[in-house]
Amino acid sequence: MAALFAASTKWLERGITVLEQILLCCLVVVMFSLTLAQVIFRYLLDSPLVWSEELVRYLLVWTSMIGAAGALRLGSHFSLITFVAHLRPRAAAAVMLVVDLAVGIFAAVVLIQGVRMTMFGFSEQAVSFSVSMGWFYLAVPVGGGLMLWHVAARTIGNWADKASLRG
Amino acid sequence: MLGLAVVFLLLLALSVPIAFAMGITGIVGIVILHPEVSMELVTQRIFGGIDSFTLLAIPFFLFTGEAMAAGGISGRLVNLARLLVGHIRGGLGHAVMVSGVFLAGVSGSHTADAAVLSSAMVPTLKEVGYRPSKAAALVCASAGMTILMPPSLSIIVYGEMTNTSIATLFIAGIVPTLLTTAALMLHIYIEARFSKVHVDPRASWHQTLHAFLSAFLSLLLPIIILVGIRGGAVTPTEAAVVAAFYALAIGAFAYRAIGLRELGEILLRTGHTTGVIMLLIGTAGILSWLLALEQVPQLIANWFKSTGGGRDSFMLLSIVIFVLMFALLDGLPAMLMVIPIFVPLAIQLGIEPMHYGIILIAATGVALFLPPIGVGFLVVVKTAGVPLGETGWALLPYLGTMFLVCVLLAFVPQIAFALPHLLGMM
Repeated sequence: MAALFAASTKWLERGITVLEQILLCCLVVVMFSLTLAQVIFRYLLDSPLVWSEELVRYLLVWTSMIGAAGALRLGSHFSLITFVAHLRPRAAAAVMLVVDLAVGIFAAVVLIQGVRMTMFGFSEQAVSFSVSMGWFYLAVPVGGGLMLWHVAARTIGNWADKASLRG
Repeated sequence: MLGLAVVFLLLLALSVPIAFAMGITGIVGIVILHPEVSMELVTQRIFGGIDSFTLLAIPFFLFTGEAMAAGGISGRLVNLARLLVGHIRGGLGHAVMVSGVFLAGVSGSHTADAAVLSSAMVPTLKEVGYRPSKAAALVCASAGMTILMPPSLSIIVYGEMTNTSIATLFIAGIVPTLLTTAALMLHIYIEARFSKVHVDPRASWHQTLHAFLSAFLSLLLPIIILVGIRGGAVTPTEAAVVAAFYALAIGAFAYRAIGLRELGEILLRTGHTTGVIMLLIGTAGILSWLLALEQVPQLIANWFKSTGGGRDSFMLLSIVIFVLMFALLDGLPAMLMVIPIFVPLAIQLGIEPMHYGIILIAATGVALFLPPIGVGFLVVVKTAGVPLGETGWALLPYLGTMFLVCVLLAFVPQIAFALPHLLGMM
């Protein structure tokens, strides 16, 4: 039962990671193309796009939240490892658990408060085009949720590895 | 407030990622000090901090740097630098410095530059008889000194957070970079009088011209960026997207080094690094809101004035604090922490915020390579596979020179701001 749970977590993590990476690539491509289009329309065609600047700003939030979640999975956020670098394996594992807990708490707050903000945002419109702000606020809880998921998946994975070593 | 500082330092010491440590400290601060404030502030500050057209320059310059690296640019630039200055007394040391300036002009990330320079130059330096530790030290100095070279990501973040002109800061960074380069080359030249180092034979015109033409398309990139921004025609973000497009085009079509697979990798790396930087900016926004509400900058300012400290002692103190703190906390995250406290203080003491920014970022250049903990230093030691201690000692004299230039910049603001004045940007 436990093995099944661990295996399905691993499988789900793989699927989510692929989706996350596809989404991230698409977001960067769209931001890039829209901003380039904005430059072309303003300077070459002399008819500036009125909505592009606001839209790419919101897409930057999406990119950042998805990218930050991916970076958490890869362990590439800046952290101070000077003091924990020389801990013994047992102590290091304990510290790791505390770190994951801290990250998890933050991600949970971002998820919950982000959902509240998003719900509220659906009654608001973007300034320069008629799309509900909820779609853009949504980036924040999605990012928080992905972070929470990655931390949970890693913890479950570690726990399963240890259990299988013991068994 | 002191309790919060303890929570924050404890989280950092436990190796909680800095962005998350700032976020949790902010949350704890709201719960304890301002329970009347809605927790929704956390997500509002994150969204609001990232939602900026200026910051959009960051992913585009990151993309440019990644595309340039994947396009095999570094080899061409290093080769040109060697032919240009390798024959001067001090030999390849000068080539490392000039390569650093070339590379910084196309990439905003100095830790990445350091890795590129290290893998491109250290083997060559070893071949001609440099000690590995000396070779790595030269690379560290070269990557550190170019931190102010546009398009510096630190400048974009500083400009955005303090509401100062990024275009002006970009132009202001040029002369300090060249001055530091000249100082280090002088250092290498004098050093070479006392020790025997390999010197290249003078390159023929034909060779140099050939190298120049092969690197020409990449040398054009910093010029595109600078002319675009200086002309005032485009915002830094628009210049960044044009630069990114240009880098992709020459990497894919002129040098034929970027295919679909490489493009995918570039996009992913850009997205992830953007996430790292933006989450830091977002969570730093929560903390800076709290600091402002608790009037921490004013408290520190009053304390500093009561000790009788003035402008000059504040400048010196800032540089020392920045070098130590940024070495411990990786430059950019540390910068986001000190800006809300130190910049209001500097303004109260009559220091121009743009001048203070140049000093702050110049100090980052020293800090990132400060042995034994600077991130850039560790990256070079790792990629070059050299002994850490020996490299650290070999590097210290160069860092000393860089530190002196930094102090000089603090007391002679004209070095940085004469050029923007001349161009009518101030």
